[in-house]
Parts: sequence; structure tokens; C-alpha cells
Amino acid sequence: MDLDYTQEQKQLTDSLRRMLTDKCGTDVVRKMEGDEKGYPDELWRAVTEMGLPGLTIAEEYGGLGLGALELAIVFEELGRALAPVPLFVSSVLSAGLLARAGSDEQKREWLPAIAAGEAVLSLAWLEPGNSFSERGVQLSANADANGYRLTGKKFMVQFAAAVDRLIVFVRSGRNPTDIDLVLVDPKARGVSLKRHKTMAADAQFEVSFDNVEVPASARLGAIGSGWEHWQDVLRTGMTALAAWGVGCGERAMELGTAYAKEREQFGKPIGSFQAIAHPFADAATLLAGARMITLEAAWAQDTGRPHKQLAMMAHLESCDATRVATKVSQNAFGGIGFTKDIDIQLFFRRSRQHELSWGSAEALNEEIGSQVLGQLA
Amino acid sequence: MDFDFSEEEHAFRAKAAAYIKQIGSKPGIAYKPTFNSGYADTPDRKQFMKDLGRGGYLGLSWPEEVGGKGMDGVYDYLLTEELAYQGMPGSGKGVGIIGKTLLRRGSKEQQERFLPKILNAEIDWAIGYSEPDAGSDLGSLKLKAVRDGDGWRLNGQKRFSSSAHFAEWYFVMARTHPDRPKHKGITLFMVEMNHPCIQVNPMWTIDGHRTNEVFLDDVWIPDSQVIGEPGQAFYYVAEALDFERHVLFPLGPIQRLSEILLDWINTATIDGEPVRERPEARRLAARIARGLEVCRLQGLSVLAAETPAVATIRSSMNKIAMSEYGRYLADQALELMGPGSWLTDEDPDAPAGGLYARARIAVVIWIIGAGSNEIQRNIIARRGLGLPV
Repeated sequence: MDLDYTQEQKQLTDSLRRMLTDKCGTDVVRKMEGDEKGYPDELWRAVTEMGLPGLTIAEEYGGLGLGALELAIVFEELGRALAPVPLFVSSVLSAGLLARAGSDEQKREWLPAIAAGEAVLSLAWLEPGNSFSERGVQLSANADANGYRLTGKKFMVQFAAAVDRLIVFVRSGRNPTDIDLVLVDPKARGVSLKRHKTMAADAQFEVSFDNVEVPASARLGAIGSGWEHWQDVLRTGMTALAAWGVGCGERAMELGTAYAKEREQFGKPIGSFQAIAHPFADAATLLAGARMITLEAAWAQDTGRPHKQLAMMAHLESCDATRVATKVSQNAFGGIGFTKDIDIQLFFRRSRQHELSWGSAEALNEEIGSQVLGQLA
Repeated sequence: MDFDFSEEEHAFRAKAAAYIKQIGSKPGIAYKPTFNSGYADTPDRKQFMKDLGRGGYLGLSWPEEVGGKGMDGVYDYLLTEELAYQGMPGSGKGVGIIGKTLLRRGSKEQQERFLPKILNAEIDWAIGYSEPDAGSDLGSLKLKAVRDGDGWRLNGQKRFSSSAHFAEWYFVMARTHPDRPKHKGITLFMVEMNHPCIQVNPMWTIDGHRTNEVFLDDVWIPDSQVIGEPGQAFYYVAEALDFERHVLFPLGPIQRLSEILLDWINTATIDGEPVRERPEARRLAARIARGLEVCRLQGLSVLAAETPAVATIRSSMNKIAMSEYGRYLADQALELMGPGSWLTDEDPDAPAGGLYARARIAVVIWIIGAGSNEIQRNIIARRGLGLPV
């Protein structure tokens, strides 16, 4: 048993942290709030120079072919910096779907471009008034042998104004999981975008489709297979989400505890009061546990062990830990922390949104629970 | 990065498991898959400890020069976990706190006198730290020791010396230097429990165990039974607790209670319908599996700590995680089981054998004992986060 990083992993952590400290201070995060594209070119250049868009893309497609542990390391740093970049939706989810479900042609068309930082993809999954479950995908596709005609609305589409393609989830039949994934150019005729106003003020869009024609060749994988591919890719990707949460929570704690050491009231630093110190201690304990299960999920994936259940657990644990850590840190700042001037609110708002964004905790727990009970003799 | 144990480590645990099962199958070592299962004072338990010693399982991480096996701390962990999982007594305070303190701070003569007996499980130890007025604030203890010839004369009282009614030796802290700052005036002594001037009175706990008040009335202890330097004991004891705390909080009871509850959820019916069909029961199963795994990892992280300073903080985190998850587990079980859940394990109608009623009561000592969770939070806040609390 050895829970240390390798030298290379430590170097990756250090060099990425240095780059983000230089190119992604909170001023950059603030600047991207309300920005149409949602990520700054200079930061994207630096991210690309480090090979991050292709970190886990296979070397044959121009990626670095690294594993889940390296991905977790990267996402922990991204979480610390609240880096406004499309790496999760593009390099983890979209590239993941392409690798799993794409034809050779589709892979060759997109994976090298994604790895090189030249193409960015995102997902159009969720719909207004609907849930995270397969039943939430209602966008009618009018599928025939030639292709699809899409009419309807998607929302919460990240970076839609900046991407080369959207992977759109469409209904292909009446069984709940009859879902297809189709590549659509957001600049195609009939597609219109409207930027949302979110808690994190990040670049998310409502995307309307008005009779948008999509050829059958734009579908990823076999007809009706989309949901199964998605479940696999999202669940595996939850390790990266979990790492992001841990990084966000840890950085929030650094800000919060630093403030608690200098801010004085009643003649002493507020951190000397147990009512302030003890919640910090609880948050630190939760974060430590969340970090461990995240790394375990990544290690399990890298060593060919069952990992999807662990990844889901890691995501849930990280959400719990980060919610507490950002809450405690935000509250420690008192009144001044409630103003936009202080950075802690950046962490609190993003953490809370992050928890909500990838599935309901209830549904995830139910899924895990069914598996756990099913695994009993 | 490797979260798995090595082949040798797996093999060690498997072998220990088989041996423990074999020597543990006697009536007087009651198996209770819950907290605090190892306090029984019976001939069967004493024999169990001797058999454990005979199997070579005591003093695994002690240096070979003093009769130990010189093995890595991971083997202590594996043994502790297996004993706890099987509901057996732990390897004990002798090989743990007391033996290791003697190894770190004791004289050669003390090591020669006591260590072999500890390895052979010939001595049971009781610990005298807490007093009626000194619990969390251990540094304020008042048991007085006055210099008397080549030794010290002790007068005063201890509380919560749980093994005092059957132990042969007492490991006790007393104030020898009232003129010094309170944390610097305490000394650690060893004395025979059957000393005529020591009186042991029982106190019964709500989870059905016995602990004791111990009265020392002019107890004279020679210098040869003082451990380390007079006045320094507070630091010896704090150090020992930091090193041994995680041993007091093994995964075993948590794991068994989690497994049994999952099994109950999977097989029980309420109003004639399977509990497992209820969405809230499935969600609870998920939380149990996750909570258990996080506790296990908290324990592993203590083991993997790169320095003692880091191990101390993680040990405090482990304690909080284990105790509060254990309480959550018991609470959830009681809620889910509905009417009858408050029957004790002595009632044949109790669901799941009344384990969770017992667990809910027993887990309280995990929250408040060995340094209450508030104290652990202070440790984490101070040493882990640098807060001036």
C-alpha cells in the first residue's frame, strides 16, 4: 500500500499549479463571469501547451494517453483555481463519448483536434422542465433512414457559443432509453443560442433547434445506444468531478482559515473561537476523506478494477465535503464575505452549482444502493 | 499509488484470521459485532490473549531485540482489524500504549522486567489517567505524589480505569511537582493493582460494561517503577495517545454493523413488503456503503502518513469519521426498523438481534472517549490548520 504520488505526478501538480497561479488568478475567473465565450484565449493557450486537452486521449489520436490519476490531479488543480475552461465537457465527456461510441472516421475527425486544443465540443443533454434521467431527454428527432430533424430546446449547455460541435441527446423511440447522440454544429441553420444567468455566472446556454437537419452519419454509435454510452462516460468522468470539488474546497479552506487567523473580534483572532475552528476541522476531515475516495476511484480505473461505483461515491462524497468547506469558509468571512469584492464567494457559488449540475444526489444514491444490494449474496 | 495491500500482507491477515477463529471459538469470549466488545474479564479471554501470544501475534512491531517481531506497523493494523472484525478483544494496552511507552521512555531494567510478560500475555494493565475533575483537561489532574525516601507516596483518586478490577498492573499519572506549570509537573508510575492501599469500586456503564473508580491511599511506589523523567509524563501520554488512538477505533465493528444492516435491508419485510424495494432504503444502502468505505480510507490514511505529526492529525480525523458514521449508522437502522427497534439485544423479538439499539448506546463512548470529538477538533484545527484555538 502506497498512497504517494510518483515523481511525475508531483511534477504535474507543481507545474500546473504554477501555471494556473500565473494565468488564472481570481481576476481571470471574475473576468469570465458573463463572458460570451466563457474562457480566455491566453489561459486556453497555456492549457493546450501543457497537453491538457488531450491528457487522457489515446496517443494514436495525438493525446498524452495518461490515466485517471493524472486526470484527477489536473482537475484538483482546476478546482483550486476555479479555472474557466471547457476541459470537462470537451476533453472528458465529449472525447469520452467519441472514444467509446464514435466510428473510426468520427474519432479521426475530432479526437486529434480536441487533443491539440483546436476543437472544443460540448453536450446538449438537459431540457427545461425535465430531469437528469433518461426520461428527461424528450427533444424530438423525427428520425428516418437519412437522418434527423431536430426541433425543441436544450438548456444548461456549457460553452455553446464557443464550441465546434454539440453532442445533442435526442429521443429516437418510445422506450425511455431510446436515445441517440448526434453531432450538431451550433452555427448550423435553425440553431439559436441564448446565454443563461447562472449562480456561477459561467457560460451556459439555452439552445433552440428549429427543424435542424442532421445526417445519420452524425450519430455516435448504434441507434438507441446513446444513453448507455452516456451513463458509462459520465459515471467514469465523476472521478474528475470529484477531484475538482476537492480542489475547490481545499482552496476555499485556505482562504477561510487565513482570514480566521487575521480577523480579530472580541480582542482575538476569530479562529481562536471553537465555534469558528471546529466547523473548519470538520470540513478538513470531510475533505480528507473525499480526496482519498477520489484517488481510490482513479487508481481502480487505472488498474483495471471496477471503478464506476467508486467514481459515483467519490463525486457524492466530494460534493458533501465541498459544500461544507465552502459554506464554513464563506461564513467565516462574515459581512465582508457577502460582498462581491472578496474572493470566497467565487468558491461558494461555484461549489454549490457544481453539486447540482451532474445528477440528483437522490437518484445517484438510489442507483448505487440498488447495485450494493444486488451485489449481496 | 496503490490502495491494495501486498500479497504478503493479505496472506498475513488470512493466516491471522484462521488462527483467531480457531482460538476464539470459546463461550467466554462473547462475540458482539458492536462497539466495545473486548472488555470481558473471564478465564476464556485471558486464555485467548495467551493463545494470541503463543501464535506470535503480540509485539509484532516491537524491536526484535526485546522479543518483538520487528515488523512494519501495517501488520499491527492488519491484526487489529482482524481481531475487531471477528469481535475479539484487541491485542491490548500491554503491547500497545504501555509496551510502546516502555520501549520509548522506560529504563532497560523496566523493559527487561515487563516486556517479556507483556509478550506472553501474563499481565493485564489498567490505565489511570482521568479523575473526577480531570477529563478533557487531563493536565489539571490532582492525584498527588509526594517524595518519600527512594520513591513516592500517592494519594488521590482516578476514574474510568476500565480494567482495574482484573488488571495486575496499573499505569498511572500523578502530580509530583505542584510548583511547576501544570503540564510539566506530572509523572508516570507503574504499581501492582493488588497493592493493599488501592481500592477499586465499580461503575456500570449504560452499555452494560464495568468501569471503575480507583482510590489510592498512601500508596508508596519505588523509583524503579517511575517511567522516564519525573514531570514529563503529560508529554509521554499525549505522544502515546497520538500513536495509539487509531487502534482504539478499528473499522471492524463499523464494518460488521454495516454488513449486517445491508443484509437486513436486503432481506427484511415491513408490512409484508420487501424493505429493499423502498427508494429510501436503497439510498440508505448507498450511504452505508460510501460511509463505510470512507471510514476504511480514513484508517488507511493514518497508516500511510509520512510523518508522526501528519499521523496524529489523521488519527483525529479517523476518530471523528468512525464515531460519527457509527452513530449515523445506528440511528438510521433504528429509524428504518420501525416498531421494536428499541428492544435491546436481550429481547428475543428485537429486530436484527437488537444490535442497533445496543450500538446506538455503545457508540457514545466512541464520541466522547479517548479524547472527545471536541478535543479532536481542537487538534485538527490547531495542528492541521494552524488555527489559534
